[in-house]
Amino acid sequence: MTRSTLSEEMIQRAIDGQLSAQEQVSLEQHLEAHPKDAERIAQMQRQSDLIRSAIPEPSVAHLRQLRERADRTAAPSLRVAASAAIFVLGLGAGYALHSGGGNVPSDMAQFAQAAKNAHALYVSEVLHPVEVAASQKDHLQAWLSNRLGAAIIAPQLGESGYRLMGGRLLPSGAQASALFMYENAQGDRLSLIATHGGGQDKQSFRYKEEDGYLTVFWQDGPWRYSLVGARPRETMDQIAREVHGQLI
Amino acid sequence: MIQSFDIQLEACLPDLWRYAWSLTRDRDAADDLVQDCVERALRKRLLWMPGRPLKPWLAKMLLNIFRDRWRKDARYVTVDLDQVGTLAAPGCSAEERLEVRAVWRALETVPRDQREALLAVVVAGLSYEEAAAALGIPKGTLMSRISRARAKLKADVDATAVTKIRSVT
Repeated sequence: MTRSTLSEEMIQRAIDGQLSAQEQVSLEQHLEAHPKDAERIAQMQRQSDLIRSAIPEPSVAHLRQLRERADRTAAPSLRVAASAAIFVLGLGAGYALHSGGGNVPSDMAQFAQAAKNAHALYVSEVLHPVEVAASQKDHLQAWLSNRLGAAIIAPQLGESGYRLMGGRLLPSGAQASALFMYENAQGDRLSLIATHGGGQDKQSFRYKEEDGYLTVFWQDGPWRYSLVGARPRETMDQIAREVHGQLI
Repeated sequence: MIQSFDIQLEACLPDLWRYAWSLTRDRDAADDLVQDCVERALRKRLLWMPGRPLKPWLAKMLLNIFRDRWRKDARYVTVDLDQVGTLAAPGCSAEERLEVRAVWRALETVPRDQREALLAVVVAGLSYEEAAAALGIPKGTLMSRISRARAKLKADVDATAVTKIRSVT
């Protein structure tokens, strides 16, 4: 169907390329019959091009500089926190060397270690195991996503009988990490700790047992995960797979 | 796909900078605007909902900073067109340069509200919904401002073209 007149809105959307495929077809039919409208649209598109062509193109490096300067002025307190964390990490590394371990822990091992410590600290809390309860799940996910700088969801562990209790924010080196805690009908608790940082590596499941807790940890691109609990390895492994399946 | 704050921020910086330039017509001023805007965004990032597009939110902040300074403080002045060295890319022909200048000259005579609306779509690359959100106006209002801005531009540019032809003959 060819309309005899084009609505003003349709003309503007045609100029800005904001028509649906179907509208585009009917527009072209109309323009074939109405060359004056075609000319007007073409002229106005050219005006947009001319406006754009006067504007300088900033270089990627230049924009990165601006971003870094904004980072510095926006978060002086974060930087102090970061250097404090590096100092603590330094102490930790020094201690490991002195104790004759010989093996300076990798980033990943440190992350898994911190995850275990966090779980061990909060698992015995009766009143405040989490900061935000599962009843406010949307808020919890939005808040933690904001703090991590990347969208994160709390996986459902329905099949294994564990349900989400809630979550909290934790420091992870200089960065933020998210902790989700789960509980089953027997009152047994698990924690999933996630952090979003650099790196594109993928590392499959690794395991570490310490102080009666088993930690399953892995890396998926910028994301690092640790699942901590006091269950046998087969159970933990199965739950970790369930989590992994929902997070990719 | 839900993109993180940082990824979206990096992706919209070029458009944001160009929008800042189109408002101030000065590289240093555009730098200042973008830097302040990003700084404000980083401070307020908790208020941004993941999954929502970041660009309109940033454009709104940038526009607020621009309005606060450039309209209220006499120290901040949008650079006069004649002070802007070359207004077109180096590869342009002399004729195209004249055309670019004519359009920008005409843009100056477009009322401010209409100009900001047009530039939000044409330069910042926002969709109508996003531009309406950034400017804090209903979509219908945005559309009519853009439409009027374009009509004014066309009328002005046509008028100068007619004058040019007359002066040649």
